Amino acid sequence: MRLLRDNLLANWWLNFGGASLLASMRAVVQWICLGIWWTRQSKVWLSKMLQSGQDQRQVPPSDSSHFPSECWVTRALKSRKSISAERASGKIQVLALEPFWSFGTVSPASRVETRPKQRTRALQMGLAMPGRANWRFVGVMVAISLVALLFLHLKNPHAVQPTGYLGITLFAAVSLFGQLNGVMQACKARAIEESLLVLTPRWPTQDTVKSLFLQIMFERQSGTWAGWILISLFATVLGWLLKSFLSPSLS
Amino acid sequence: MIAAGSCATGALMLALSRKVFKEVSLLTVATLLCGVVGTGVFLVGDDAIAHGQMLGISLILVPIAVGSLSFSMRPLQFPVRTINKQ
Repeated sequence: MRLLRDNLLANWWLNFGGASLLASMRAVVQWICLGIWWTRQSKVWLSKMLQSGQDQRQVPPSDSSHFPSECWVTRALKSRKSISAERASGKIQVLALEPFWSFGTVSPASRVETRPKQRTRALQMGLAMPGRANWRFVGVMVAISLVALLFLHLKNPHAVQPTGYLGITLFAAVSLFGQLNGVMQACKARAIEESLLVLTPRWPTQDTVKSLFLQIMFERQSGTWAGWILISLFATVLGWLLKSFLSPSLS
Repeated sequence: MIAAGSCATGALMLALSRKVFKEVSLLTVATLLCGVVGTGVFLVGDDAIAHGQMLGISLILVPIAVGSLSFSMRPLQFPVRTINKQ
């Protein structure tokens, strides 16, 4: 029986080694193809960007969206007549800003309609915070962790303490701390930029900024949580975690 | 993982709702200690302490609860102000 088991294990290791060799060779070929494609595409993109940059240089350096269109100018001129008519009545200080507010040349912060995700990305970019979760990295880490767990399980199938799983959990916890620490360090490092951002006319209200920070916190954690849950799920379903570890109060 | 998430989120929320950023803050240290002690108590379980697991879970969730309360009640520290020691 023991001999049979050893043979099975040896064959399994051979099969596993062959499969992993084939998989790694395939991955290498795939990466080479991707590299060639990326080099060609980047040349095309670079030429397009240079072309668009040359086109933009001919345009005067101004943000045209801040200026009113012809229709608005006409309406503003008309309203200026009404302003001059009411100048005598002493309401000029109030009315002077009205056409600009109503025509959209100066828009209050509440009127800016951008999607929350765009605002989150803008805040992350403005403060040079780490961006959204890198799902490819999460996938690679999950795969590596599962391979490590499989190796440890095959080495010692009846282990009382799942040391590998605990190590992976510890690694995930440290990663979680690191993700949020990155946000904190970015906030601390860019205090001057933040004070400039607050002075901008379109800066949102404090509640909106708080909600943006909350979104960033949850987004930063999502990758680590998803990876850890996947690993735990696989380890539990495949029986690599003992029932006594999963529910210590029942044993 | 729950304790780590709770501690990290709670510490960040507390830091953002404070008046100034400090390198080492007593509140942050207390928050982290709360999470660590909660994890220990939860692992020891009901055998050593009466209602140990409930106590452990409560201690683990204290940081995120305190952080959320502070974050929602107090004004956001934006732009951040750091203490200049020079």
